Amino acid sequence: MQRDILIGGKTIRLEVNGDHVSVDGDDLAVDYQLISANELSLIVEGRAYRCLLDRTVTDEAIIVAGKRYPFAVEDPRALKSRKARGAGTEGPLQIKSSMPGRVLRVIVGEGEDVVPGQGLLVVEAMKMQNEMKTTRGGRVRRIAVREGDTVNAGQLLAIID
Amino acid sequence: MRILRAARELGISTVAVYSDADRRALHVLHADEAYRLGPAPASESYLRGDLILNIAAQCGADAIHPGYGFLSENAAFAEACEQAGITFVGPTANAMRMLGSKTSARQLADAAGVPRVPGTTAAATSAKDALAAARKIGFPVMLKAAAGGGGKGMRAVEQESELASALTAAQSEAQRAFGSSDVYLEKLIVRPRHIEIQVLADQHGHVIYLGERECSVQRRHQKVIEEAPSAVVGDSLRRRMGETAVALARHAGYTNAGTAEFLVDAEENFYFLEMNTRLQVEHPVTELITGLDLVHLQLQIAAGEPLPFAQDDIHLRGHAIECRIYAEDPDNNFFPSPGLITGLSQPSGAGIREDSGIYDGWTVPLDYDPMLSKLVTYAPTRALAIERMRHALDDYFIGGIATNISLFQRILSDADFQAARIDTSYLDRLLSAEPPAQSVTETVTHSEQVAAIAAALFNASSGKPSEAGANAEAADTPWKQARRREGLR
Repeated sequence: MQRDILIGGKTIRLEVNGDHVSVDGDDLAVDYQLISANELSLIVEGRAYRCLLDRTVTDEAIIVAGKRYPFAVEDPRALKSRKARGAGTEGPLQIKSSMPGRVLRVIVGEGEDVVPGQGLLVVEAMKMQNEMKTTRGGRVRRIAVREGDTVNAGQLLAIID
Repeated sequence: MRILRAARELGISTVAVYSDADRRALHVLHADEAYRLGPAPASESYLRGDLILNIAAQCGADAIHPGYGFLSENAAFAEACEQAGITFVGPTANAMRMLGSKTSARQLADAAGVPRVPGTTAAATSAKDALAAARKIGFPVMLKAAAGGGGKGMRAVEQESELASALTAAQSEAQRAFGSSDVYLEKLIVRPRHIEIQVLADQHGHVIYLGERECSVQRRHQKVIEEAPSAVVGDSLRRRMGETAVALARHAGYTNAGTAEFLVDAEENFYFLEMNTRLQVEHPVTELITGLDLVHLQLQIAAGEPLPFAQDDIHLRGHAIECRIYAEDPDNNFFPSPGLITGLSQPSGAGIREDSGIYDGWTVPLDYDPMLSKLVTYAPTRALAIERMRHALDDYFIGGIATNISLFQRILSDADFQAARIDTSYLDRLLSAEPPAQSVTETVTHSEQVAAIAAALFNASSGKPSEAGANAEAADTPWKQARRREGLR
């Protein structure tokens, strides 16, 4: 089994072969047991780790010793995911709501140019206002909601080219 | 759940009430009987005293424990209970009225000889009125809502020119939050600690105090971490504050559990702030260092029993710390993050207590305060209680939603917190400081390697159809895996 894992801004190439795993070419002895769908007992070269998988509506992360490591996975052999990788770094960026709420204000319009960190729209929930920002610069291709709309967690709000 | 368990332990059967948003809540799951109150908004359910009393009458309840939110400090509700012949587990409506409004509590404090922050006893009606009072007290001053709490309707005013607009803002905020625009003035104490005294009073005139709680770690005037005892309160200060709180409770004819809140300055002067006429969220830290069960005692007092001990029987042992775990995201301006809990692993072990209302598969509703649980550690010393808490937080996993667990990890590893150099603005200073550098390294760290291996293994075991064929390991049966391990030996 081979996987490329994007973690901490780096890509780590992993190859798991039974009780050995090659990490960027380094060979390590591993043993693992899946405790539940989101808990893993992992032993690497005799050192024991409890690894938790946390899937939220916005990201996926591994928690080890109280620290959270967001990650993305690619299977280098799957053509499909190689395309997906391109989409992740160069293609359109989908802005999704991190929680259920109501669209209070739409700040930018379709076709407008935005810079990283710029606020796109304001979603209100539990009487608090949250500005949804873009992590990348680009042109607003689409605003998928209107002011006053009720949105669910994970719902598409905008697409940035 | 906390109250329900205590009642069960005393052989009292329990009745839960719930709104539509809470049908799947833990207290409904565990109660002996449960009745629907109404729709999700609190104004149509948990704040409807009339509906609660109807249910109480229909199911033949003897008493109502109001918890620590909603109607717990509502004198009109306590009075309605008294009239309906149902015991309200708390003080009388009369004592609540005297201590509930901040202005009347201050008048009572003066009468009982309780030191308080210099300020006005009557609400400021006009800007002119407020300015005269502020000049008398001396700037900086604080504006506070008379009927308030939780930081609503509060404004700090540094100089005269800011007073008029701050007054208008505080008044309108108070009107919206509490239905009363009464605002009064107080001198602003620089870098105070928030320390409170737990009192217990029975219906036979016995009043005692159970030591203090240090609640200085606050954000937007909301408590974040509480501990007992306070690192700065010695025996003499504890006795002075305790006796003051007892005097105040006596003066008000107070019964049941209550808390007198004080500001304490660097010179060990203490000033009465307000009395909370209910059980408080942070009561577990007091329970741990006194060995008492405050909810048992509340129920016994409400049943007319005398306190089973005297002041001299109260001894404090060890140190307890409580973290209020909320569904809110510290990395995103503490924005609430309700939603489905997709995984849950709660810390346990010696000296760890977790009072929570959550379970795996529960959806945190967006209708109420997003408190998930209270994690409390207890150890012989403060340093050990902190260490125990840090590891308990590392073990605590709430999957699917953002929580403020990382905030506590940051506070507990901070040198100032560890040295107990805290006051009510401590957390604001910590949060406005540069966050600890996210160690983004060029090379892959060992932890990142481990996380990456875990990510790959989880990914392979999830068996996504599009990646079939790469799942040979995951497809292994436990038998095959066991055989391979056997082969290794």
